[in-house]
Amino acid sequence: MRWSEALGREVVDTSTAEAVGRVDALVVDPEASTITGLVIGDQIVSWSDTGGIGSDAVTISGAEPLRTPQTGPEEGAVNGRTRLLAKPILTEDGYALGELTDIEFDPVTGSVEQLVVDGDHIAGSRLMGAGSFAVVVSSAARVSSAGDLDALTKAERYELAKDRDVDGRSNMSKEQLRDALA
Amino acid sequence: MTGLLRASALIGQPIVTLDGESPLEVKDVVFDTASGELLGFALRKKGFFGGPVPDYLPWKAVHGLGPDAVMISEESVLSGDASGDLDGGGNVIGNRVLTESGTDLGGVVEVVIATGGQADVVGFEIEPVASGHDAGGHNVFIPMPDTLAISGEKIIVPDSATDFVRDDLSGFGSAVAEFRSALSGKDT
Repeated sequence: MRWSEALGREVVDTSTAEAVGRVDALVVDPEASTITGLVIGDQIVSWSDTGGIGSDAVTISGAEPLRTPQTGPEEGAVNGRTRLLAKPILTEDGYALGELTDIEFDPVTGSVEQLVVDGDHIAGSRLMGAGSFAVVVSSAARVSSAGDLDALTKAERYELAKDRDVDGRSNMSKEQLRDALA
Repeated sequence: MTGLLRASALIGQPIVTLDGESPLEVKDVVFDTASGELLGFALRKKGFFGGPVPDYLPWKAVHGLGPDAVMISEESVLSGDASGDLDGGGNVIGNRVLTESGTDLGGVVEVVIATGGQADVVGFEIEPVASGHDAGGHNVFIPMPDTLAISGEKIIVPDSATDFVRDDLSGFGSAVAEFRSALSGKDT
């Protein structure tokens, strides 16, 4: 599921069958690459108190599912300081990869699967930090030395192919670049 | 990914923590004028408000240096103390580049550094000595050895450095590597 689709979805409390509001934002734990909560107005619902993001509504349950923000990321998400969409994505070695246009996540577990950037994808596992200035991801060097070529954008694969002087790299697709580098 | 950058291109670059916060930006790049090594960055605040801020980032505290940002692990690595780094005086810019046999190759207009993990000063952009009425001469890039002599006025390079001069930054990286491997081959 995409982050942009989840925003605005109705939130229903299953114990009262009442709508308590709409999803205004999501809270991300960058180190765990996981969505940990929802923002409804100025309040938070922990992901564990939701039934995930349903196709028509988000159901929540529990004695007092709505609570005040407690952690830094929760406060940032409520006051909009760490609004992630449209933030620049920087690698830990100082390369800009583009602007974050959307986030793909598992609607049941909240696991961040992909960061969408200018028509390409960055593996969610590369997420390191998300602040008021930028979203930070692990470097292409770290990812490639771990052998996880699937996690690289096409532009990063191309740069790696250039470093290794791979023949015919200019005409290769994203998948062909991965196979040539493997 | 590695690449080459003019040091002046780093001025104004954001200092970004791995948490994605950016409190400061680069005001100046600080070199050791005795060895030509990159020591760190003088910093300035973004915008106009707020109190005093840490004004120095030593190179050893840099997590990653790229063309778009200087990355640090967290704000606490910034210090207000340049521990003498800023007292060196003088500047590499404007130094004359002389070969060991005494030919003046030109004046330094830019320091070229390699990015990607380690920052290393790899060479200089120099404005060649005007020859006769040829005023249309353009700047060239000359690699520097791992160690070299700098006096604050002059930089001495081996005569063989002139064989690895390039007209632009693309291709200069391999010229530096070839020059350095040629030098180390001669020394052993």
